[in-house]
Amino acid sequence: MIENILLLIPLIIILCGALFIMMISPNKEFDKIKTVNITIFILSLAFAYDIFLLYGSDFMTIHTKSKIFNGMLFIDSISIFVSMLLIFLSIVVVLSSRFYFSNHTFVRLEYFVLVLFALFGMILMSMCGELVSLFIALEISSLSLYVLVGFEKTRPKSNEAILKYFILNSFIGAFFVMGVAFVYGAIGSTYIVDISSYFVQNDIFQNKLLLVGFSFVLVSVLFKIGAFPFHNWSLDIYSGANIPISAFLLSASKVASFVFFIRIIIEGFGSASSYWQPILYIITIGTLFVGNFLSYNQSKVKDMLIASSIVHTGYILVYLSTINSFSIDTISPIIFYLFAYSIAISGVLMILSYIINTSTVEGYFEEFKGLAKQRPFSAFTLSILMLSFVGYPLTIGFLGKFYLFASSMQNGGALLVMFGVINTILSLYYYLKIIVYMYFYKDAVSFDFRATFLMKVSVYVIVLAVILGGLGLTINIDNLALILK
Amino acid sequence: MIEFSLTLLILLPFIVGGIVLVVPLLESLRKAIIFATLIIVMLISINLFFVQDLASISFSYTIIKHFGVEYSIGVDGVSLLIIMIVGLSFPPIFLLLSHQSSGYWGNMLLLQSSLMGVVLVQDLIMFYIFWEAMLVPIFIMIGLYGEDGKVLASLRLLLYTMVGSLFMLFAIIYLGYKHFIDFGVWSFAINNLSNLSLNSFEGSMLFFCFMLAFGIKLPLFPFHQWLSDGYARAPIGATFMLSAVASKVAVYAILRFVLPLFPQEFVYYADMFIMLGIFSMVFFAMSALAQTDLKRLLAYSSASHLGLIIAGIFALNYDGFSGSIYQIVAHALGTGFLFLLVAIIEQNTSTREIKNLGGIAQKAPFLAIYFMIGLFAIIGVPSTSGFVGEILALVGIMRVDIIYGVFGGLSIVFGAVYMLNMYKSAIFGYTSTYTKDMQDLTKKQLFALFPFIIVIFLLGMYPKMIQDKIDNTINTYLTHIHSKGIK
Repeated sequence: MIENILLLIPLIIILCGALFIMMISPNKEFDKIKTVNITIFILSLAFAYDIFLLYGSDFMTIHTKSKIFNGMLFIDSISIFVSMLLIFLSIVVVLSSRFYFSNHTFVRLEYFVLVLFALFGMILMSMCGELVSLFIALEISSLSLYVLVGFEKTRPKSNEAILKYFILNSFIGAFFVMGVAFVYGAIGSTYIVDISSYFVQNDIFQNKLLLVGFSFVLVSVLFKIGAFPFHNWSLDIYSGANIPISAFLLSASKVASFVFFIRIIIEGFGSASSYWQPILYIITIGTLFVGNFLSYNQSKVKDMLIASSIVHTGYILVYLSTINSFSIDTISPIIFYLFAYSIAISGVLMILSYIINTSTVEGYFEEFKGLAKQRPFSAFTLSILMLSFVGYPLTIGFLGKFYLFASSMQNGGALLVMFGVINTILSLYYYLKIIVYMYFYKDAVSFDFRATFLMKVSVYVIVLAVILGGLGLTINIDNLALILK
Repeated sequence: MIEFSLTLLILLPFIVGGIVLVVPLLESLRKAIIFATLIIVMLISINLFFVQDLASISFSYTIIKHFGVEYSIGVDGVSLLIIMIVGLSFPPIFLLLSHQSSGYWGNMLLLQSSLMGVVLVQDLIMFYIFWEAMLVPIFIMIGLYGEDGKVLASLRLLLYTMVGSLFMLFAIIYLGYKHFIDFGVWSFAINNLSNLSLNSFEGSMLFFCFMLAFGIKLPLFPFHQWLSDGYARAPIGATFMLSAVASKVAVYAILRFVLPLFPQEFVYYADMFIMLGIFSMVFFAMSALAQTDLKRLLAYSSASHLGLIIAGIFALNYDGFSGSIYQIVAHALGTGFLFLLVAIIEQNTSTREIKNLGGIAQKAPFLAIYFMIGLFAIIGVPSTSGFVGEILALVGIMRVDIIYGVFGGLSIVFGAVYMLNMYKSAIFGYTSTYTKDMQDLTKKQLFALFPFIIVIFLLGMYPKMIQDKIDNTINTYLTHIHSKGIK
């Protein structure tokens, strides 16, 4: 048991790093730039250890789920992959925050502490084996995210966002805990493995208490991923946050939410799919169309990206509505799509973080006119990432959509795939809008932004990953299955 | 070895195009690199023409094992013709337009790469990838280098085509899934998918998804709204590629993919599509009569002849097939050639309106002669390339029903009417303010356009050159239809 503690070292690194920054923050010597570097160093350490876990696992038995603390936490290959992805996304987010410090003096070093704590919570979420610890991890990340969303104290929109976020998430957290209580009352255990083995002999409809408890849990999980009837304030919340934190929410938080969904619904309650699959069909269709209609009405690029994340949630839901068992093969398309989407959205928001500074450029679509003439590489990278969202061939977004749709069809969801295709067509409008404005119009404002070297490098790395992914050269469905085995 | 050269046809322009777009090069170096690439592509295409046994060329490389997506190359008669058109037409265009910017030619090279890719691959997902890849270079070129109203024109073209393509993607994935259901593995190779048996509802639905995508690209009657603006506002390189090649690729795809996959629906709906083709022919010919802008007139004329090609294909007999396939080459040459001349006229006189032009024959006799030859090729005067395809296609559709032939012949007459009328007004007659100081074709332009003239007459007087190549292919299609299609 003790040697399994070694599997938790990435988490420990992040935690100690956060505490360390918290302790050094009053010291005037550590200005914000140095702290950025320190944070990235910490994150890289954790990432490196994860790679070690993934590949050099001869003396630790990774092949079966390795339990820690008697099954309360466990590590399987999905946990490791997801934690690597989340760490990478956090590095991108921390880099994007760089310009926030020069423009806004309110930023204090606790910003990084909170990012690290949120990341800690998210990685912990992917490692949890039972519902209560899932909730604890969820709350750790949520509380950190509340403060991060409302970090700009002087902006009314931020204050509105934090209030909405806090109230809504606390409410949903209460739903979740109530549901877990009912489930525990019905089954007698909160371990996910126990829940899934309960369904071997029993049917969910017989046990009314379980049915009610599961419904509560389902509602809170659907809220976390931002599905159709629960998406109402997500646009307000995410747009009230500043750009790096929006990036964090849209990329890392979405990945963590889907892992949350997978662990509970697919792994735990997968056998009860006769109950939740029909519900999910309707929710998927609603999510797709509502997300598109919301995105059509946005006049700011950042808001459009936030609303379009609802549509991408819809695409993943198309596939989730068709699976009912948990295995590496069934989960691979989701992980791949999350990978493709999260790195692209974090890349886009990183580019936006240095283009949009509210003094000259506020982020409306019209302000992007003529960007291609002035800054060809920024425009080019932005275009490639937008094309990846659309699912244009030769980008990783196309392969992601293809895997999702083909796998959905394989499980019998042809009608849902049709809706997915229709909504891809609908989403063409707002993704191409930026490209058209950037390239085909004359400039309205003159852009005087500078990106640091590291930011440029990371943007190019992301774009390269997107294109290479489109060619099938990075992770694709074949070697993803290999990696995850 | 030959397979490697075919992959080179796709890769080389792609890489060089990417370099030209991204890396700032000295102008002379850039021109040299582009020209060298185009010459290499041309040589590979010519080499392909002399290969004896096309069916033996095959190459396959698995890209995604789990879903059976392969990069597999093969050539058949029709794709050979399109490769020849693309390979041979690019160098003369480069000679004419070498002054254009690096972005222009970078996009043209990317376009060439994706055009080669579309006709070479035998796997549906790869086909879809290259089909979509055709769109963005054209979109960028129209949007950046077009004339006023370019943004709307390029957006309309892109969105219209992408809607069709996405329905086609759904159909493609569904076909792969059907293969998985029937045979246990996913596969998208056309040879494997031809073995599927689809019930009539599925077959019709998928058939129409495919035909929607190709009907938009061609264009066929109800989906032609993007045509006029798209051709008119595009820069000449894009217009040439759109009219000469991209539309033909749609025809090729119908023959290569829709026919083997859905033979029953192909035969069942053949009448409908003949009528649609003939109606497009007549409708677009009448639209061409009404145009005052040279480029739009040629755009509608191009669409009208494409209607004939489609009608010929859905006639489902030997004459119809061979006429249509022949007409692919003839039409590409003739229309492309005329578009180039119109661009030169516009360059020299700064106008394209017919009423502003006139008397070009007096000031620029060589231009007038070239224009006349192109005109003859389009109308289908015997001894030019246009005649052979037209007569065969007409015979083909007449074999189905005499009334089709009547309307087909009628639209041919219309073609002559609007073309000759345009010629009279724009080229003959008295000079106008715009044309009175016009200069004739320069030596470079004469030299660059001369190959078109040669091939027009060569194909007109010795059609056997192409007939041999496509004979096998046509027989394959016919046997496929007669064996699998029900009437």
